[in-house]
Amino acid sequence: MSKEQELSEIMDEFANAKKNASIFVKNASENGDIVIGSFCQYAPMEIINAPGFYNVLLCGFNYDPPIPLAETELPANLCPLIKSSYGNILGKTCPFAFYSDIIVGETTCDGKKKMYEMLGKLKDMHVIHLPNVPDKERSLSSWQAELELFKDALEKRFNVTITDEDLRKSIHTLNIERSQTARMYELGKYDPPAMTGLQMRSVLTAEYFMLDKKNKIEKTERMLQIMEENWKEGKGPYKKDEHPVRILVSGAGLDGVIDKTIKTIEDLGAAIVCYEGCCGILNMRRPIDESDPDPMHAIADKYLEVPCAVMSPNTRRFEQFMDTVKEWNVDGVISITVHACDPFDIESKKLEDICEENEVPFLHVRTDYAPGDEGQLRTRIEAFIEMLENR
Amino acid sequence: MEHLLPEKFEDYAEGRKKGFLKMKKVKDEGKNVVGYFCTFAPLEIFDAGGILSVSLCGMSDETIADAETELPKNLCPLIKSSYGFALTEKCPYTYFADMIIGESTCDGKKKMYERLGKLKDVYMMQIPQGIDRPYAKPLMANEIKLLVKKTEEKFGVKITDDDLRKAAVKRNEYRRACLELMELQHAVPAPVPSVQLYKFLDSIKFNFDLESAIQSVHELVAKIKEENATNPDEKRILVTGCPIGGVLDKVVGSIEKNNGRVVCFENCSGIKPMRCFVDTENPDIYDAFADAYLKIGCAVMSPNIHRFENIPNLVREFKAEGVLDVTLQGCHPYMIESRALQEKCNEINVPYMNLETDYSHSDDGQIDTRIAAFLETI
Repeated sequence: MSKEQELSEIMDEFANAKKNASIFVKNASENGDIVIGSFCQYAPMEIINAPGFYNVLLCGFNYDPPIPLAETELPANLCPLIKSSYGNILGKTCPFAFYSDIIVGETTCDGKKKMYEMLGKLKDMHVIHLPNVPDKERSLSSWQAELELFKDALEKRFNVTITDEDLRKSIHTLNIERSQTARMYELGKYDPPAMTGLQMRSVLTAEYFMLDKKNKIEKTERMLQIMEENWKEGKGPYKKDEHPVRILVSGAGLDGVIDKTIKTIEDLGAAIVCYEGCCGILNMRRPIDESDPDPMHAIADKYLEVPCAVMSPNTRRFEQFMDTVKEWNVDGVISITVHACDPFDIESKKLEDICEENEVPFLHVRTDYAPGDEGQLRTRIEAFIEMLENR
Repeated sequence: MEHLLPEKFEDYAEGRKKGFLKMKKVKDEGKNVVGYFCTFAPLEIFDAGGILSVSLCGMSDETIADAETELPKNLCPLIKSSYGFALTEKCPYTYFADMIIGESTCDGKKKMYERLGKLKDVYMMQIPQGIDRPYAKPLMANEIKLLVKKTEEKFGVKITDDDLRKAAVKRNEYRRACLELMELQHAVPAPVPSVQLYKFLDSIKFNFDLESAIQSVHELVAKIKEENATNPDEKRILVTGCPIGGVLDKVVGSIEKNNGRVVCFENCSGIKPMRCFVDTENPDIYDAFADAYLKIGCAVMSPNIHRFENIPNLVREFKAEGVLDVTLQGCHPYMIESRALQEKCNEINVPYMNLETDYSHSDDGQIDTRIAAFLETI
């Protein structure tokens, strides 16, 4: 099999990960395996994977039917991701929720937190309460206590014992995944980039749906290798003498708006070289400390560093933001937030301030899962990219 | 030390000028001022340190357009208004506050505080929201301890446990006085006019002398007992939800106009925080504070045990014939919780209506029609 063919097969596997996962989860569930549904990066996958449980993402990324259905119970003026997730569970259109033995809800924002209270009436739920202040002195011990409660709940509910050894193994595996994601982002540093932003997005989403971790790690490794080689041979996604405008995309909840944002940006000739914000580069660089004698402490310590806008002040995000801009040699920043996501929306202004100070062009787009604003978004993005090209 | 007035002072209306001059005088006399937003702020700390504390929640739409230059439009009007007042230097309390306490309650406020931090000295206080967790109380106690430490450092004062205990005794007395006023509404017909009751409870927070505040509550109670003139046909309403200072006239005014009477405000300026007494006999005063403040049934709590326990009791206690749940646009916690509250009200068989509104006047007529219809069904 040629390298090109191999790469294309791997990329297809990533792209189809979500589709294939529903069959995988159905089989796993029928085999008696435990499936845990969760919503965000804060769900400590190390703990879920340690006893061999599968973790699936329940975030809804589609508009119809879940959102109109959810709006019969939730306020319409709420983030589409929350409405879509709830609507898919309410209408039983999410196979992952259907096969989940228990749903884990992390209290990242007010909307999710309050939605979980309603979800608790539909499904067996365990809520993980996050601290608000990411200061380790103030929050680490209670955060670790919260994670211990989660671990105890899993042990009790499923009659298993999660040993430190189990935790260490899963920490190690997930550290490999983390470092692979960081290496993937490195491919965006090249000029021209060795990977497109759309391809990166596809791998990031697959992270939650390729449940056979060993396979996922092997495939990712091969992908990184081939992409690197291709680039050296001048066979990357861009021609050697092509120098597309380099964009850093920032924000959260993007998976439901990929076509009208990410894909549009790249269709218009720009290259997304890195992501910042939810699931972005920041959190991938430092692994969980494998030498910590208390693995639960190591997990808590790492997860408190997730640079999510729920944290206040989210200093870590802003400190590293300009470093990312410089390291990836970014020409312009596009901040994408979804309707009514207050934390990321308000933080976006702060990113704008930082960009203004450093003379980095910045564009903030607010969008929704509902169709109708594609044309307007395209026009704004096009104008922004043109401006960058003419600089 | 002489304190400066805002640059635009001369353009301000008389009332506002007076407010600024009053605060300037307080500052010039060497008093320290702390601003806060929520009922979660343990004011006993500032009482104990001889520091004035003042509520900074914005209640008018005057500064919302200014705030929207930096904050999303689709955000709760209280948050935008508060920030707008800070940005435009139009609020004397915000302007002269030496330090502002940002209680991490809702997402919008929390993130607004970060921006406010560029204009003022803001100290973030963490409020745990999983109140059923064993670590919630110690965490809250620790946050209160840290706030004491910060206050001591900032103002060069010493605050002992004994000072805190004394302050707690006094604040409890204030809570009791306010409750006495609110509980006058037990009577059928309820004697205190709705708008007057709320305005009084809201304005008394700006009386810096706690002793005289308590006194003025007692006086009002005595006066009302004497007058005792009411209309027995009025519908008895319990108002709950978001802080309503900014929508008082259009909502509570309309209840009055449509032959209703608010017998209980369950909101922040109402009874919600007032029954959260601090146990001054508790040998650990911080534990006592944490205990009291975590009983506030705010919708940021999950599950919001106390609100759902309290409302059915309050409905019975005040013989309420209807529950009006007022939510401000963009307030996700209360908006989402309204569904559960509706279910709760169905369960206890009391008519319920949710009103979503903001600080503008564009929906005045519509609100009035809906309230009239609601009161008619009771």
